[in-house]
Amino acid sequence: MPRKIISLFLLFSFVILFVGCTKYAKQEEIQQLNNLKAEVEQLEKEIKAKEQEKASLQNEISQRDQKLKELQSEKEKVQQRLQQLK
Amino acid sequence: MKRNLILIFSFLIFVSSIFAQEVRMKYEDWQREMASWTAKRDELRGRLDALNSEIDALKKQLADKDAQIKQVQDDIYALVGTTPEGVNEYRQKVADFERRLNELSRLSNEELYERRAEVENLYNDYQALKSDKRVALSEFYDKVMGFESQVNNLINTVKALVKTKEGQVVVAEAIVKETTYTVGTWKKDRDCLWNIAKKPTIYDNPFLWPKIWIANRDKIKDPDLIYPGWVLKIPPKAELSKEERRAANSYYRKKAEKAAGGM
Repeated sequence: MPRKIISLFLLFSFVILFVGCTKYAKQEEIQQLNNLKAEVEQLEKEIKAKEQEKASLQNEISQRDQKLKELQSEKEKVQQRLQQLK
Repeated sequence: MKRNLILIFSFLIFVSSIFAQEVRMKYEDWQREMASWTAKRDELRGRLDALNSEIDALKKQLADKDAQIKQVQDDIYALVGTTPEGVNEYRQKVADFERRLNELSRLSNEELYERRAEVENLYNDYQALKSDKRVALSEFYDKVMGFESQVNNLINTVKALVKTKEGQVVVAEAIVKETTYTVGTWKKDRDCLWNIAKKPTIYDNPFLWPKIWIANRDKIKDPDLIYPGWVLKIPPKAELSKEERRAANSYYRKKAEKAAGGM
């Protein structure tokens, strides 16, 4: 029985030693990583907003193209009608 | 016994490693994570810069399009010699004209007869609207041109309205469109070309008798001779044409010569 307890104690000590010898990141380093993750998250949001802005601008440009086309056609029609009205 | 020890050992390793992962991060893992997130951040920064450049270019493109639109719009206004305010003014005129046209179109013949001066003004206003260069704009062209038949119908109807001796307002159909008239007897109807043209429902003007003569040349060889039962064509009311005037003059001349010869 005491042998068993000693074995267990040794085993436990070994485990603690094993875990305690591993090198871990410091608190500031963890904070640095968290800041980096937050920055990435912020950048992703900004990119999403910019992509929406880009899509909206492209849409506006296509509307302007359509309007320009209509106005050019209107100009031609006005010229023809003025000829007819003379 | 040995087996139990191995089990306990494994359990302890497992528990301690979980504990360490939850609370603390291995330095190697931190380094790996940092490298991965830094790369991601750099890539996102690059994308953001590219997007900003694209957006700037699109904004410039949009401004260029706006300038082009304004230029073409100005060209159109210059063609019809107007400004946006001028277009608004013409739009108001057209709306006002349409309202008056619809109002007059709903009137009964009696009311129209009373307000014939307004119809004539409306007709003149229509000519002015139509001759305005602004009518060439698509916003107005079809609409204003579409008024034409309505305006013409109205003015023709008003011109065709006559007031009988009894004070009734009737449409002289012959004035609106070509129609026919069946000649009655002299004894009963006193029908001759002069009297037929004089009827309020025909021309209400005896001097237009040559119109009936010329329109029925196949039947009427001598305008003094028409026969009961003849169905005469009655052309729409209008001024005498050159041919009709010439025919009338020739008739009056021959009549005068005959009278002079007889004396």
